[in-house]
Amino acid sequence: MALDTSMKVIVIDDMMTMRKIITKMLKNMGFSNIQEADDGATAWPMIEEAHASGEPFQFIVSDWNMPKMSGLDLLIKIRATEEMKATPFLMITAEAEQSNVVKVVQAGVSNFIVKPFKPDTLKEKIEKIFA
Amino acid sequence: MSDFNKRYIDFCKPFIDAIKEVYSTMLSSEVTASDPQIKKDATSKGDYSAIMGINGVFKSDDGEKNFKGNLILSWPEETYIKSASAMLMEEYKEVTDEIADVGMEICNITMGNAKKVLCEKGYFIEMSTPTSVSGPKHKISVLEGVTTIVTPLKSSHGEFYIELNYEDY
Repeated sequence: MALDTSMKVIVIDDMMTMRKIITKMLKNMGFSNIQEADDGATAWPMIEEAHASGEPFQFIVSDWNMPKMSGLDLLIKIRATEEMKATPFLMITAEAEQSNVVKVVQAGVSNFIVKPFKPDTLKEKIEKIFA
Repeated sequence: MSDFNKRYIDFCKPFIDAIKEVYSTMLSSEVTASDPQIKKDATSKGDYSAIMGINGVFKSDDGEKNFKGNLILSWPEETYIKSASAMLMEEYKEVTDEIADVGMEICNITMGNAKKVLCEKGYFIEMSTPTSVSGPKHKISVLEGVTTIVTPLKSSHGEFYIELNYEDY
């Protein structure tokens, strides 16, 4: 998969701060078609609707620790849904314990970033996903 | 030094290291810590505080102990605005809704990073959600008998404070 910065992206985080930071970093990388959601529970209907409209999200960037539906639960749901299971999914987390890494890898995450991170790290992780 | 005091110090250090890492990576500022002090009353030194409860289990060869405490980061208004501007890569002149959760996110990342180090030392923390309190001279009360340690921190965005309390049982 080549990195196409015109792809439709959704950024999911319960903290406005992190959504703003990630969206800004993505825009600086050239992405322009970015939507935001404040929880996995808010994102899921947006993802379903986008798929039904024929213009699905092509890349999901999600925080892990969110109050209603965690990033891990969202990832599991995506991977269990035939028509969207191949969607690239980047998990962003503040928790870097080995046990957590194993959980997301087993759930089929495309890549993950541990906070705090610099723009270069985000770019590098995204490039690896679409290499 | 008593075993409890040793555990207290063991427990606090990763949080100081973590906030230094957060500021260095995401706010382009090195942070230096001054000597820790015992907090004498409930009044915060900052105008904006982000708080996260800490609950977990400490496991060692001697057995298991439950522990609980709080991580509190407290910023004077000017430091908060400058820190938020650096983190969001945009200049803010006052506290607005747009920067209202910056402190909570910094607190969240600090906790996540300290949690990893503490896990390696036998402290298993259950991650909670941050909250915030604001206003000049706001008060954050802890249970009677619980000691809170305040460490002043200096950054290029101004001075701020990290408060930690810990008890095990």
